[in-house]
Amino acid sequence: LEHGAGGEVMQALIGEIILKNFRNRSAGSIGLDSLDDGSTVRLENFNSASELVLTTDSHVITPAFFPDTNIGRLAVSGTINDLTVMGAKPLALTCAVIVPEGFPIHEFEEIIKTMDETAAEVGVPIITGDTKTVEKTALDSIILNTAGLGITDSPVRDSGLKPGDRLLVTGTIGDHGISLMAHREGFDFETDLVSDSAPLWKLIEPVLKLRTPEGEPVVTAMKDPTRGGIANALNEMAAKAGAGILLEEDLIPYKPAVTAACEMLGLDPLEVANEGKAVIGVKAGFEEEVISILRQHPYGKDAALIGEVTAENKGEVILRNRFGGMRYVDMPAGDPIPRVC
Amino acid sequence: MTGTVQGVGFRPFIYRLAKAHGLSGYVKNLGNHVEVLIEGERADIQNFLIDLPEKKPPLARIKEIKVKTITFSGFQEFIIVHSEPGIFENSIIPPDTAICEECRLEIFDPSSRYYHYPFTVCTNCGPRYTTVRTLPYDRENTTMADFPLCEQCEVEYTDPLNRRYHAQPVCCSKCGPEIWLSDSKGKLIAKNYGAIVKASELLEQGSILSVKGFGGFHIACNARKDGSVKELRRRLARPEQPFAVMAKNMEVVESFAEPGDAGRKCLMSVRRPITVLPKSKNFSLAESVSPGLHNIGVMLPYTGTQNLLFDLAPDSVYVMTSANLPGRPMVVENEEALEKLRGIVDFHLLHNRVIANRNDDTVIRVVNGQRAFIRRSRGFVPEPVELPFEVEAAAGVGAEMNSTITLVKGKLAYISQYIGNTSHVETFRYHNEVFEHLVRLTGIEPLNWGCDLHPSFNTTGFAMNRGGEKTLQVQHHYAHILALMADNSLPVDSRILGIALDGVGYGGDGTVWGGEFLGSSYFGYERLGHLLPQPMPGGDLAVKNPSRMVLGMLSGRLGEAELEELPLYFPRGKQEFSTVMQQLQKNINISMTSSTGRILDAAAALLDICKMRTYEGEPAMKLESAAKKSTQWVDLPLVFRKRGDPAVPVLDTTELLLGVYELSGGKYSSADLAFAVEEGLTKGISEIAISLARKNDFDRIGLSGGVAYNDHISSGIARYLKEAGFELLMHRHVQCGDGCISFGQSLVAGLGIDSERTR
Ligand SMILES: [Fe+3]
Ligand SMILES: [Mg+2]
Ligand SMILES: [Zn+2]
Ligand SMILES: [Zn+2]
Repeated sequence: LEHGAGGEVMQALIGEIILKNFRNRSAGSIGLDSLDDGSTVRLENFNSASELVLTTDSHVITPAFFPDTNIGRLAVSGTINDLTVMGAKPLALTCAVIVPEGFPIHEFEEIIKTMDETAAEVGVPIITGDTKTVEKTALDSIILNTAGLGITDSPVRDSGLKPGDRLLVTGTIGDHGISLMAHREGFDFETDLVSDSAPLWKLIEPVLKLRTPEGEPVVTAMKDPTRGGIANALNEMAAKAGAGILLEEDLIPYKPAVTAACEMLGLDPLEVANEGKAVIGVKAGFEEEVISILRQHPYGKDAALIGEVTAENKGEVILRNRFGGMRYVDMPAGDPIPRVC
Repeated sequence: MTGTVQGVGFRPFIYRLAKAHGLSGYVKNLGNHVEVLIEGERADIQNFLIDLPEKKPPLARIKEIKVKTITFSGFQEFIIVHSEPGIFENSIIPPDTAICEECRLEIFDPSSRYYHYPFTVCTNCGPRYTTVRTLPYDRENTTMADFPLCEQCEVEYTDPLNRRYHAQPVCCSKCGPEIWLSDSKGKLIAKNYGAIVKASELLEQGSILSVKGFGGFHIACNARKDGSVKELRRRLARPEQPFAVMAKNMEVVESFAEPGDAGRKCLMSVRRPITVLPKSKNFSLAESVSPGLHNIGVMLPYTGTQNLLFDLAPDSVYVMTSANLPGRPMVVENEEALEKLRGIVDFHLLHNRVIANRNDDTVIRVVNGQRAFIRRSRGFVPEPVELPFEVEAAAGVGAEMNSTITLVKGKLAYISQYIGNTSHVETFRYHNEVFEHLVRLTGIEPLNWGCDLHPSFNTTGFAMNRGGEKTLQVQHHYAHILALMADNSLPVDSRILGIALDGVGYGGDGTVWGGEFLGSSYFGYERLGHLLPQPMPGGDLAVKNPSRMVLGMLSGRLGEAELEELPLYFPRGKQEFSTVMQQLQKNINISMTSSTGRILDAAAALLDICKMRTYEGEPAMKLESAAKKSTQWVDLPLVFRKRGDPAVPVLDTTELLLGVYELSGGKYSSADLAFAVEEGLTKGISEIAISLARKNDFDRIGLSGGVAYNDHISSGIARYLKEAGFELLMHRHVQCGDGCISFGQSLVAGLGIDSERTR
């Protein structure tokens, strides 16, 4: 196994080893095979259309403390966001910790306090957990695992995009990845860029309630663009929906510091990780309304329309610049390899 | 007779020649050769045989004439025997050629019915490939199907003694395409010859026009008006990229460029390529036409319209640049021109003949005294390249920039026209269309598919989708050398030491290559040496901004304070400088490359010759131009090292650049040092090649890759090798740059070699 393998390598690992060997992989309308942000659990003996949503995520990040927060916020937000982008109201979280001996106790406590504060933002209790310590040599920092339980009567799948849908993003792209790199590697980008890590339930909740005059949900698909950035999230959404995505370069919101850092490091901001953002597909004609709702919440103040879903170019994500030139946004595959001859 | 004797008006020519000598008999197409039987007086037959090679049609190439005397059978007249079914008589599509002298005279002859008619053609000239929709090559399968022949044209078309006999694009002002001038919104201004007169006036006044030709649109403006050229640059957002120009004849060309014999031959060929020529001392065109370069791309008129335009302004020189964004497909449709060229051109000179195949101008440069294709397209495509051995039906899909597609089968390789940069969505779609079209025209259904090793190239994905398990990935520089071998007709069991010098290509070891010595056969390669791998801080960003390469190459040897003093450029100033330094220290987004192009780029940046790359090859091209002005010889240190396991020789390019650094600011000019860097690379590369060839018993050494367009480097390597008793093989019929990659890939696929040794 390669360390930190992303994109296609990880896809192969999941497909060829995990899915092949687990024989029972579904408990409701969305099972493991969907490889969505979480899966649903049918409530068999209740007369309800609602399903539970279950998700889990492990977090390793070096360093555990970074501007303006720490791994605790990342872990809680990540799980709340996985429930949120499934369209599920978070009900409860778990907290499992693996920590190397010698880890400073005050840092440990600060992480736990941060988890509590983050969960409190959306009113979710943390109701069970597990703590293990391992030898110093086995681990160099803390690992957090959080599972989350949510409930929904209309789960949002990441495969739900239909041609004509509009694509929105809830805020600026790349803040987390760039701020973390700047902090970790000691880059001085002369900015106060901080991680965007945040729990999004309160931001998204009002949008989920919107219905078209025909009574259909306005939101057609959602995903949180974490590792691999929106390049990864959108490619997955396009592939699963069997539709194309056309992005308008000028519409994608970036903080100037992110643009500057990417231009100086040669990185593609579309591939940089986010921890407090969602990409949302909405039915055409509702984008303005959704954006105005999102912008009322502090986490959504930079929400923007970034593109649309097309019937052609199935499974492909295309970025159009202001001159009309178009390029493919590839699924990130590890480190970028120079190609310009 | 064998050779290029089909689809080039050869049989009507034989017919007319036989008639002229009072001979009888027949001419018959037998697929792979043409059979002629003649009967008559001995002297007439002898004269016929003398005239045959001399008067042959311009595109015909006679490889061999076998003459045999047979029993007299008493033919009454000379006839063209129609081919038997099954013989692919109409499957050969000739390339487009310039209007011939006879047609040209007719359009300037007031008594001719072709007077001032720009679409005048005959068997010997005019558009061909660009008109073909499908096979067989008959008028109804071309874009001329939209123009039914009038009575007079019908007569000429069906008379074997007429120059227009069976020339598919035949037409006249009564029945053929029309030309007109419109404003930028499409509003009609003038028609027919009047449109050309008006267009000429506008060009003279400084307007910018689109002009529809054979295979696409040109954007034209007056090359003597600096204001017009600069305005065009502004509108295209192309600050520096050289524009090609067109002039009426050699006399005008010689007023601003020095063609030399080889250049003159290229320019005047019926294929009418753009030929890159040195500027003359009294260069009289706007400096902005090819800024910072010692040379300029020039072509002579090849369409009727162009001839009529220059007849109206005989001393004028016009920029004629293809109407596209860099690397994207050229505009071919009228509606598309109105839309895509909005805000770029003031007027459109349009016609209503559809362009079936987009075909950019071919670009040729004379390198080491020989013709080198920078782009092989109009006038050459779809003529096949002959292979030295038989292969199975296979495809090569190209790399990414300057892409082409190649289909091979038997002993023929069909290399497509220039496609462009397939990372752009439009160009990749065009790539796929060209593929379908080439399959249709050649009937070749590939069994195997060759593609690049680069995992992110769209062409790689294309081949994998089509070919599945039949897809063979071929290392980029090995594909260069394979193309070079076949281009030089090396037999199937040949071995060669291939030198591949270019920008970048994905290497067999996962790093980025581009200065390679590959011991090669048609069945595999071995990397026997290379240039020292250098860091590219920020990956492709280091291509766009060569100052980053300088920091990468020198950061291990100079202190931060010294590096800060270098005359480098970073768009984000001091902060970017520090960022790059940190990137290098912490190994963040750094790729290692043995590319030769990047070394030339770095030298151009360090010598303050070119800061940012605004078009492909700019820093290296400007370095070459600067080096032309050098007056003093400087020897830079050549340091060779050993690397890898097994250890192979490596040229230490950091030492070269450091040498430049140490000598700059002293008694040597930047031109002297530019020359010295090129010379150092040339000498270092030659020395490695010679020692590898001797050690490994190679008697052939060849050179491919985009750096081979550099005349100093190519001629220099050829000279050093010659001194050591080796002859340098260079490309002859295909491009040195990435246009040849599909050809190389198609050979691995055609030979069906699925091997670690080709990846
Ligand atoms: Fe190349
Ligand atoms: Mg997740
Ligand atoms: Zn002619
Ligand atoms: Zn006619």
